[in-house]
Amino acid sequence: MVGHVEYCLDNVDSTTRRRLDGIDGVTVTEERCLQRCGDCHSESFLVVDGELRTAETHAALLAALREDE
Amino acid sequence: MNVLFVSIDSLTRYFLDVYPGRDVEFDVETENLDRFAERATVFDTHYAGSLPCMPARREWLTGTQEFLWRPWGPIEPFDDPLPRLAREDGVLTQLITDHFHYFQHGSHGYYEDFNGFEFVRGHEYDAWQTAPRDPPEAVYQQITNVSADDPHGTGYLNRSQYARNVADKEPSDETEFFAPQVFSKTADWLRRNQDWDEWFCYVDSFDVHEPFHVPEPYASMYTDEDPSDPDLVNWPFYGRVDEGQSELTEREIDFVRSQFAGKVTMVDRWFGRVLDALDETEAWDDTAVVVTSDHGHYLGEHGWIGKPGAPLYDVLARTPLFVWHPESPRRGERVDSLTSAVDLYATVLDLLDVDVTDTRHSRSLVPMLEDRSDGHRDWALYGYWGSSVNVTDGQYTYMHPCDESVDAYCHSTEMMSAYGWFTPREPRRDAESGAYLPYTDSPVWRYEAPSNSRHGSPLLFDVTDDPEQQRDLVGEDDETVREMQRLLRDALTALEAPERQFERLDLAPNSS
Repeated sequence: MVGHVEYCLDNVDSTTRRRLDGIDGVTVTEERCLQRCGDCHSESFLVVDGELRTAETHAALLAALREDE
Repeated sequence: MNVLFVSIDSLTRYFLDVYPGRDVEFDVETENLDRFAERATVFDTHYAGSLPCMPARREWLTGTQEFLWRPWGPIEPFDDPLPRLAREDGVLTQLITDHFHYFQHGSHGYYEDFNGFEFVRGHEYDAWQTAPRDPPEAVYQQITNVSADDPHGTGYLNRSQYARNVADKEPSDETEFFAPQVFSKTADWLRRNQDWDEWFCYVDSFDVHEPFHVPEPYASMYTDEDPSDPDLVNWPFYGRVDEGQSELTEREIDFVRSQFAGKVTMVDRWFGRVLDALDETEAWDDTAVVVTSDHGHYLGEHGWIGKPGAPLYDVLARTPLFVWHPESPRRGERVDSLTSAVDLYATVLDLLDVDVTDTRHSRSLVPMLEDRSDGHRDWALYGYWGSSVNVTDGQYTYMHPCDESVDAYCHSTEMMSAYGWFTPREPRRDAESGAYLPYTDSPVWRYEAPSNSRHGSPLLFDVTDDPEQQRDLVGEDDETVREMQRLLRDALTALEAPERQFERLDLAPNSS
């Protein structure tokens, strides 16, 4: 069960931003910078319950989140 | 007159005895800053302007309150950088720093105008040493969450870079660390450049900035912990201390605070070498000395660590400022008047007697120092680009949130990532161009990026009665809220802030 998702503003598009903010039952934190700049620069990522998750797209990350719920 | 300008990065001012107002659990030794404060004029109500690091430096070096128009970025072609104006007036200019952001892509133009610059390599993410491939384990484990920074990764801003950079430093020899290097070089420069008629020496110490990796005796000075315990981090992630990747235990917070305090003392001891050099060279009578910081650093206050997306409480925004002016009748006094970081640009030009008709958003403090004039400014604005906008009148701090559904505009002659600190991977093909800025007729790019509010509703504090900002007065003192909103509108109108700012802040310009 996912409790907390953090994302970098520079790493998401507006669609992902809306979808993340709409997830029920999960604390979602938007940050200007999560100090994961290397990952941010090269791929899509979220920090889920303190751990880094990366994928080629945010759609894939969101799909994985839904599977965890 | 000569000018020595010293920035001590991230120097949270309540750690200094000179600036009481919030308790510190240990007595942080800062005997040299204390002795300088006794001699200088101490400004009690000084505020940052544009945050964080490089935006603050563009305020100091160009007089631009930039956060209303753009984020972290380069010197613009239409700026008049302080070192250029000074050298054109016959003043020798020198930069001494270990602040690698001056040399990082996305923020050029800051060092190039100095006659000379000294760069002490290796701090934070400075792209310097590439060996050893395996970063020294003891340092590496304390500066990073090992899941975040692959020790063999080649990505940007990997913390193992710092571990490699300091691999050859002898942990028991503080002279090899950063602040000692910066201030030793400054003292040396002062001794070796006495023959010049007039100089401007700009010293930018990255310490006290994290990582809070300090040698002995400072590492053990304010803690009973073993400072080399790999379970204790000295470079925590920014954010809430009670959740997410930035979560810290009380023990971890205590340790970080102790290492920060140790670093403050280390900086102070080596800053003392600069004061000694001024004594030895008998420079005090013809040298003005400005000592300040760009911002503070949350160390658990209000539940935050670092410089995260938090409201800009005074821990971050209210900064130290000391000015020694050899001809001021206010030497050794304190000044309550409200002052702003951006004012240091005009102040230094004034001290150097460089005649400039337009100092953009900057107002010299010299009249206050020489003539005891007060009422310097009615408001000071501060903030991060694209975020909340904050205003103070010196008694109240008012933090006004933005509407995240209204994007902010980024204005620059360069295309920059609005939030990441890189040149963007792709050009902004949606950018418009035009003469959008009120202080230049130069065309710039303009493009949108998301607004990011730090708090959902306004926050108001009376920092005279409540210096720790524990009691939000919104809902209790609505008249002051309205007055501060009016002040905010006045300030934005005076600066000719973009109309989009008023839209995203849901404020009408100049309405009563």
